[in-house]
Amino acid sequence: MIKVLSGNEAIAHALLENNVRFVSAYPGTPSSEILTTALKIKSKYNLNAYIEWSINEKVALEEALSASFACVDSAFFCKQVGLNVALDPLMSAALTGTNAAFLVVVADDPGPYSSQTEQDSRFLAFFAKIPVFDPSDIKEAYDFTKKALNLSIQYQLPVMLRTTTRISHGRQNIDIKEKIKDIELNANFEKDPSRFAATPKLRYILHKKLNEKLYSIASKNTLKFDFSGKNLIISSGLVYSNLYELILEHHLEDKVTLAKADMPYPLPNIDLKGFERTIAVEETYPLIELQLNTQGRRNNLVPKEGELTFDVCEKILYNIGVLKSFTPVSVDFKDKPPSLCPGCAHRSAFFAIKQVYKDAIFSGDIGCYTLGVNLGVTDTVFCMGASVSFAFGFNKAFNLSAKKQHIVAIIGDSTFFHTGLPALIDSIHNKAAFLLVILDNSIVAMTGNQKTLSSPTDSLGYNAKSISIEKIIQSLGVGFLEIIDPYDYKKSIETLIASKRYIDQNQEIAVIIFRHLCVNTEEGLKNNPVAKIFVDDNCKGCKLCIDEFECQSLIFNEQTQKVEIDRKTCIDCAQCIYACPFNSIGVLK
Amino acid sequence: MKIVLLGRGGEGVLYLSRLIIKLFEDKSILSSEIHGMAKKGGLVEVHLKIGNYKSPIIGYNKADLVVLLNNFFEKLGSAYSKNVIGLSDDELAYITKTNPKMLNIYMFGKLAKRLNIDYKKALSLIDQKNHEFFNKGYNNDIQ
Repeated sequence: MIKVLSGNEAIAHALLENNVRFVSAYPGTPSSEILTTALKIKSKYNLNAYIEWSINEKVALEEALSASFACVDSAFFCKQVGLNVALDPLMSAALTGTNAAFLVVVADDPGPYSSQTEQDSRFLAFFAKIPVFDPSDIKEAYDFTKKALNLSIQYQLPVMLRTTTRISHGRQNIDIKEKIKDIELNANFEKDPSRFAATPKLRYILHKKLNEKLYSIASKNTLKFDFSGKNLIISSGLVYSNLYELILEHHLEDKVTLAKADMPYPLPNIDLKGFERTIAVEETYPLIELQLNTQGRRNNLVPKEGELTFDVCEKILYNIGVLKSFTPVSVDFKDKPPSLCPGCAHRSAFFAIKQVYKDAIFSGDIGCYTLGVNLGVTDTVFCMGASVSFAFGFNKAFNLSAKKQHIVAIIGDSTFFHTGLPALIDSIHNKAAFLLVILDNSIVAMTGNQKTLSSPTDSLGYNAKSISIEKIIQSLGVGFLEIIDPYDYKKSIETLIASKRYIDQNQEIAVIIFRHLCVNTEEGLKNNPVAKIFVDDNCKGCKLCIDEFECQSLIFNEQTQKVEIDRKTCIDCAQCIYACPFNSIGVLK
Repeated sequence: MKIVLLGRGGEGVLYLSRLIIKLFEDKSILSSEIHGMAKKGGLVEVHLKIGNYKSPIIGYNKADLVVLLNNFFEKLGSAYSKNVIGLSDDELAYITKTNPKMLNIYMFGKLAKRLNIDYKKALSLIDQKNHEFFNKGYNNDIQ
């Protein structure tokens, strides 16, 4: 049955077609749709399978890994920075090996388009000593999922499938199976402490066994060669496809030989004599280049950062002398920066916070609310959960210097669960003093509205245990905890003032949970208060509202020199009325 | 055929790309989407390649056609191809006034005409209630 599928959909199909019945993950662009699709397939064929979001990547990997110890074929997936969080168990998993298939799917983001880094996860496969497949198109993502699972079973070893934004969010015709049948699962765990509870001495033996596995896998790994030139380009992943098309387009078949690595690690020793030049072109780090000691990034023929798009590849072909001329295309274009959605309650919270905590340091976190930077209420954005630990560090550093400084940590509900909680426990125990703001919209909004742990249902709508953020915080003995709707401006300001007083008097942590459903969800938009606003003729055109409230729906009319409401995008939340000090924004009665 | 679609989040670029894919479902299709910050009003960029290709992405100067759902991206579009199909001020004003959600359906009609697609085949992909705007695009009729 041929269907046009996205890379993530294709991977999900391949996982379930090849008997994977345990999938655990944490949302992250561009990987999230793998789980959404897997859930749809599970429902469609009524499969006996566990497929669900986890609290964070480390936990997710461990959940799936141990299921593979119990002989259930399993998969874990994440975005590239997610694997950093899950690296600890992965390193050991390579040594212990598995008892069933265990696939690690990681979505990289050369560019980057929606990530903090453009790190190359193939390097983490290399580092952990596990094989990695690198599909060059969407169909290969489907095929390689099966290959990787088979390899994992054969060697009882975790195997990585590395995808990228272009593959995960690409589409292609794929010949998928007509039907997926339920399989009989028979969990079994043969106790073997020399593997699963190995002491350091035994780890040495496991390491030796791992090296033997890798040697065997490498010795059977090959490159595929196309064309017949004296310049050898070795590639893998999407950039291989770009190079292939360019060689045909510019008729370079007799100048270039193009070699493709389906599995760029582990590579065998390959005889590269007979070519005038050998260069590796790969995204985003020099994995093949270092293994085979070729030219490439280390002698500046390949850019060390950014996506290897067609024009970049043409430049590389020019750099190695096979393309005679190259005219770069200059793109005279700059997009406006992204901005929180009109009506987003995070904006209301940010606006209130900066009225009260004017001179604070704001440690932000990962989620939609990184865009608080537009309102001047986010000074640091690093990695999941860092807002809380950063607030701790800032607070102690200023205390040690006997300087008074307010610190505000700002984190979303899902990110709080992810890794914010351990940092909060540490901060409370060690008597740090700062305001922790939890922006609770009850959804993982940035990555496509996945459920959070406070949800009373699982992703398919069945009963789950709702985890209460406030009960967790109460149990830690926090003396100041308030839950408010940031749409209530007056109460927000009062609560923020009270929190500041509490911190100054007690030198302890205060927590405010700003709770309002995400307006980008059906339920959130349906239940959002509606009040149509207008800008009156007395508008001075000072743009304070645009600068301070930063809503896309407030636009400045250059002709009238007044602010107008963009009715196309405005959702009538009326939150901007507090942003005009001259009361020129009013509510229509 | 290589087509680049450009627009902002919420303007229906992805849905338009799905419609075009359905039109050519019996052919080899490769596509690639960038919508990292789309929800926040950011750029949505779809590359569509119909025919015998390997890579799902399109290089600058290599597209056969650029479809603009938002004229803000005119300069970016012209980097991909000189052959651009967009919406005139009159068309935009009309659609914005009558039903802004129909922007992509209107463009689909316009595109179907431009690409000489069988009228009935293209129409069959559209919900009955949206036929009006498809026809308006197809017939260049905004009266």
